Amino acid sequence: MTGNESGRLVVDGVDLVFRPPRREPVVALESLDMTVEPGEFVCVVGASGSGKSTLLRLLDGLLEPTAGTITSGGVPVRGPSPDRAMVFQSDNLLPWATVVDNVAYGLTLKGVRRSRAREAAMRQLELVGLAGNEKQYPRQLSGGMRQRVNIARALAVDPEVLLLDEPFAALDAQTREIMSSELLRIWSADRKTVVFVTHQIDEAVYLADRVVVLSARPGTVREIVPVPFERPRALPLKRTPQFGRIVDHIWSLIEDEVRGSLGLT
Amino acid sequence: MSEARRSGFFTWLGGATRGASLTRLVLSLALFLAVWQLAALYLVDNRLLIVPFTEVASALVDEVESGAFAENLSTTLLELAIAFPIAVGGGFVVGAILAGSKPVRQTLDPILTAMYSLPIVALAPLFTAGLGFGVASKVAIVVLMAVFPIITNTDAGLRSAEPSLVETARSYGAGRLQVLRTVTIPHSVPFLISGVRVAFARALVGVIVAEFFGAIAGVGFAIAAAAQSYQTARLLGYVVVLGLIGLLASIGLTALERRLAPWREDS
Repeated sequence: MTGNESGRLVVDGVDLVFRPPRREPVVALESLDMTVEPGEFVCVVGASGSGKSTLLRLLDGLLEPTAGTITSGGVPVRGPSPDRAMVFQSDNLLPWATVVDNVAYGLTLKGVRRSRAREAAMRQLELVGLAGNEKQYPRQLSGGMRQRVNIARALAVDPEVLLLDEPFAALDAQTREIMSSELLRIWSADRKTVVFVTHQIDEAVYLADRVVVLSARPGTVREIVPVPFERPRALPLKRTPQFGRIVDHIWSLIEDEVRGSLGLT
Repeated sequence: MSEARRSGFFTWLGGATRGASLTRLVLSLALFLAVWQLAALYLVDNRLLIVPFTEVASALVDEVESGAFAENLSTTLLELAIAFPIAVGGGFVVGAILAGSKPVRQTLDPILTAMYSLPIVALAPLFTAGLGFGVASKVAIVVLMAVFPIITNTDAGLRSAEPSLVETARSYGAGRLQVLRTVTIPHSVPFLISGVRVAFARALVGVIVAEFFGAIAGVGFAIAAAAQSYQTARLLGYVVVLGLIGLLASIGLTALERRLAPWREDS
C-alpha cells in the first residue's frame, strides 16, 4: 500500500445485480463511479431504493460487485478488512458483552490480547464521552449512547476508512443534531476518510465535504455536490441562506424520485 | 400498623435482594403448608386423599429412621445423575448437528416432532420388561424423556442469532468459527438453559413413572408401595420430597443462568 493512496476509495464502473431465487433480478447499482480522497468526508444521499446501503456494503466488502472494481488504498476490496470499519444503522451491539468488550470486539477478533484491546477500547470510550459506562450492558444504555458505543467500536480498530450507514436514523431529531456535531468533533481529531449514508439532506450538507446524490432504480451517481463551508462547523450554519440553497438544490435532484416512490407524480 | 411501614415491607419483598427472595420462598411455603393443613383438618374428610401435613412429616421421619428414605432417594438421584447428563450432552450434539445441516434437519424433523409429543412414559413397562428392575430401565426412560427439549432448544438457539449481528461480526473480519464463538453460541445460551429446565421436569416425571412399573428401590417405587398399602402420609411425604427436588433444580438453574447470561438481568 503506498502512503498517499492510504484511505482513498475508488469505485469504478460498479454494477450490482441481486438475483433472488425464482424472481426477477434486481439491478441495485449501475455503472457507478466515485472517488473518495484520503481524509475526505463524503455523504451519500438518495431516495429509498437508490442503493445507498448497498453501496456501503460493497465498500466494506460485505457484498461483491457484479461488475466493475472497488479499491481501498489502492488495493482491490475482496471482503472485509481492518482498514475499513462499518457503523451500522441499528447499533448491532452484542447484548451479552459489556460496553468495553463491545468496543474491543474488532480488536479481539484480530487476535489482540484482551487486556490490550480493553485499554484501546477505554481510550475510544473517553473520546465518545462514555468513560464510566464501560461495565454496563447495551440494554442499559439509551439509543444515543448505544450509537456512540457503535462508533467507538469502529474507531477502536483504527481504520483508514469509516463507513456509516444512517447511524442516527433511529434517534430523535434533537439527539441527532448533537450526535452529528459530536461526530465532526471526533472526526476532526484524526480526519479519517468517511463515507456517511443518510436520507437527511441537511445532515449530509452539514457534515460533508462533498455530497454524492444517487438516483434510484437503478442506483447511479446523479450529481456530486461540493460543500464549501469552512471547518470547524457549528449548528447555526444550518440556518444560513447558503446552506439552505445547497439543501434545496439536492432536494430538487431527488424530489421526483421520492414522489415516484410514493406513487405521486 | 402504619400504612407507610406496610408499603415499605412490600416494596422490600418485591426487591432483588437475597434476603427478600429467601423471605418470599419461606412465605410461599408457609402459605402452602397452612392451606394444606386446614384443608386436611376441616375441608376433606377422606383420609385416603389427604392427611394433615403434620402426619406426613412424622411419616417422613419414620422413613428416614428406618433407612428406607436414604435408599429410595439415593437410587432415584443416581438414576437421574446417570441419565440427565447423557440427555443434555446428547441433546446438545444432536441439536447442533440439526442446526448445522438443513437437509439433516428437514429429514429428521417429522420423527423428532413425533417423538417429542409422544408420551414416552407409555414405553416404561416395555423398558422394565426388557432391561430389568434395576437402574438401566430408568436411565433409558429418563434419557428419552429429557433429550427432546434439549435437541429442540439447542437447534432453535443456534439458528436464531440476529443476521445483523452476524453481518457485524463479518464486517469486523470474523471467520465462520469466530462468528460461532462470539455471536451464535452466546446468543443460544438462554435457549439451552430453558431447554435444560423443561428437560429436567420431564426427567423427573420419567424416573418416577419408570419406577412405578417395577423397581428395587426409588422414590417412585416407594410411592407405588405406599399406595398399594393405603399409606397416604408416607406417599405424600415422598411427593413433597419430589417437589423439593424440583424447587432446588429450578433455583440452581436460575443461578446458572445468572452466571452464564448476566446481560439478561434487570438492571
